Amino acid sequence: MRNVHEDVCHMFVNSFTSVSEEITGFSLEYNEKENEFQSAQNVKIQSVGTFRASLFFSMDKDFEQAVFLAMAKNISAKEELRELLIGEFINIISGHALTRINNLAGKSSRLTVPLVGVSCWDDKEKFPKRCTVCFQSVYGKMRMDMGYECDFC
Amino acid sequence: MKKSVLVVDDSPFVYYQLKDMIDGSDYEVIGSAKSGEEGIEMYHELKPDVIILDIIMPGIDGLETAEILLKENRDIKIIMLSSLFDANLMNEVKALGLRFLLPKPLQKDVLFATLEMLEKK
Repeated sequence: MRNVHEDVCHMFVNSFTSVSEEITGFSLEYNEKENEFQSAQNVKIQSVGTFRASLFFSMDKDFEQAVFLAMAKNISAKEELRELLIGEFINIISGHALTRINNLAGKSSRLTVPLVGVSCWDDKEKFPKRCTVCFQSVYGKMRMDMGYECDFC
Repeated sequence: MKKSVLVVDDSPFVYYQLKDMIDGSDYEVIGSAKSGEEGIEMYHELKPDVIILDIIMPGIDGLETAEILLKENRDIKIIMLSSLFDANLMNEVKALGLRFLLPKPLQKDVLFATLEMLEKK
């Protein structure tokens, strides 16, 4: 019998690792061991619809800087756009994951605008299921904590 | 004469990415709006040949923005853009009478193939 929870988590892992490299040019690897690190940047994004979730991303300083530089490579006047660019990175990788879930489940869920610079994950208690995935790159680390519930899980 | 493109996306990444891709081609990016509301205003002001319109934005989303614009002019050429690109969303885009939903991150060859198909409308 398929474990839906594992499938959901794996979809996020696979989507993040594949599309992240496409955007940034450097690879992101899933790290089975939980990362402990000092978070320099947090981003929250939510999914609404049949798959309801709150995704909380933490990045260490080096990873955040690497993503920022990758996203900003053609942009002048960069620093003031930092939060928008980090938010767009999270939007794109989350969108790819949610697309897979939507297509497999035949359902419709949508993402909210990402909130960059949030201090804590303030709505995790609303969601009964949890998934934590940790990633490593040559530049640093990222972690996603997700709380979710869905009509088809 | 180059064809003009208006970008409607709250992310500067998309604007600069598009500008980078389109520079030197038969198209030029003439403006950038950060919301649906601003996009509608800039459409009236600039009358672009093509609008590239993100779906997830603060305020009214891209689908609602497209609906408003199409009510004014059914012949407007719009390419929808989104980090989400599932079958249900594609159906919503088609229900508006639009043909194209491109996934982020944009791919240059896909963008130009879409622009070419849009011209054949």
